[in-house]
Amino acid sequence: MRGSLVVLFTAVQMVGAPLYIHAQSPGAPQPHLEGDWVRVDPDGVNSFDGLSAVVPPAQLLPGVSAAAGRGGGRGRRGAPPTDPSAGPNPEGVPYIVVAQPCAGGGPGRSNGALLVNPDSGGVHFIEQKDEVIFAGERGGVRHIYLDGRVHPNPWTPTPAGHSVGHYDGNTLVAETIGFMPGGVPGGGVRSPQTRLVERFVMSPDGGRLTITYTWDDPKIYQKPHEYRYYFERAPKIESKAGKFSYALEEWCDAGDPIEQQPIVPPKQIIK
Amino acid sequence: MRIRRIGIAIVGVALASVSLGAHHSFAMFDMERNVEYSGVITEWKWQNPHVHFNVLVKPAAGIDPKTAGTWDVEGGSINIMSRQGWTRASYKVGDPVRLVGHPMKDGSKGISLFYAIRPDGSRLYHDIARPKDDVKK
Repeated sequence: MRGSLVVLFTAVQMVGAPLYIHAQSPGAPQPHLEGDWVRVDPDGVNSFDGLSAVVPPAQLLPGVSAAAGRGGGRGRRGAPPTDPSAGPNPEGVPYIVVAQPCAGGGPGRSNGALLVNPDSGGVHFIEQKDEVIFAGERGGVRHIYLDGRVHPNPWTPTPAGHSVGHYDGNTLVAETIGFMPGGVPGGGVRSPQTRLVERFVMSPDGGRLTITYTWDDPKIYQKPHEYRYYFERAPKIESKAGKFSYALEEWCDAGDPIEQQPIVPPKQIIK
Repeated sequence: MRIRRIGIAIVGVALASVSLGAHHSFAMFDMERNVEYSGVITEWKWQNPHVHFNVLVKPAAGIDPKTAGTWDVEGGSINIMSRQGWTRASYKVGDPVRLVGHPMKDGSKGISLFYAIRPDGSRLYHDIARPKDDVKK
């Protein structure tokens, strides 16, 4: 499985040109979202916990309490596994196989939810005619449908909701609803009725990506809650076949005791 | 309406206030403090989900006595650290190492790695976070 996933990502990269050429203005070639990206810190937040500090506080309606957590940082803070299926995997089952972190996913992280606000793990976009596939090396996949479908009704809320999208020039615009209840970076809150609009904007040279998140829910927010995450193309590595970026799974097996290992203060040699 | 809002708030707070983490909580570290340590690698574990290595800091002139001892230094996953320039061979047992990290709040000998400082002064960061003096705009 591990090998096949690497092969999958490699194969996607070797295809090179995107499978779907979206609206382009004539003249200069337009950059494409397709490929591997890694989040960057243009603000100098000083620690991975600080990555959430740059998210402006959500303006909540009276009676709606701010989420106390600081979600949206490195990604190590999330939700408890209220969904039994989001608990640790059975022994010997790596989490990437079941699209959830090994230590429990919950609605905050599992089944593609980590890709709603990616942490510092690598992410990968595949652009196709009818959908954009958004996959993360730390598990989970999102599908952003471009074929004109509407959100299903009824819809059973999921950690990553249901996404439809379109291209606005060179910008992918995705709309998502149907989230399981959870926290939002900046002390925000989401419910199944909350609407998220993501705008994926690339720099003219295609080397940087800015995702603008706008959460809106008239029952939760005084005004739409907006913030941005910044990404760069994943660094390339040299090989005999050329230079490639890469996406590797973050192997994690609940059956391995080392997976749960926190700091173990070493035996002191000197006093 | 009121009950619904309270329900949303309770769920939201519950979901966001618990440190779950990919593998364990990081609440044990004082992320506001950046402490420099200079020592020698005594154990090197290049592994997922977190790279760990032990560093022996001997008391010496110019060494903050509070940093003396043997420390467990925790980094990120192999993927995350590789993208920051780390490799399996970045260090080996016996190598001198200079690093900046966030110490444990309870004073025990554990450090969350922020970055290592190479002999030429360049930095190998654990993760994407940067200090103010090293950001790309």
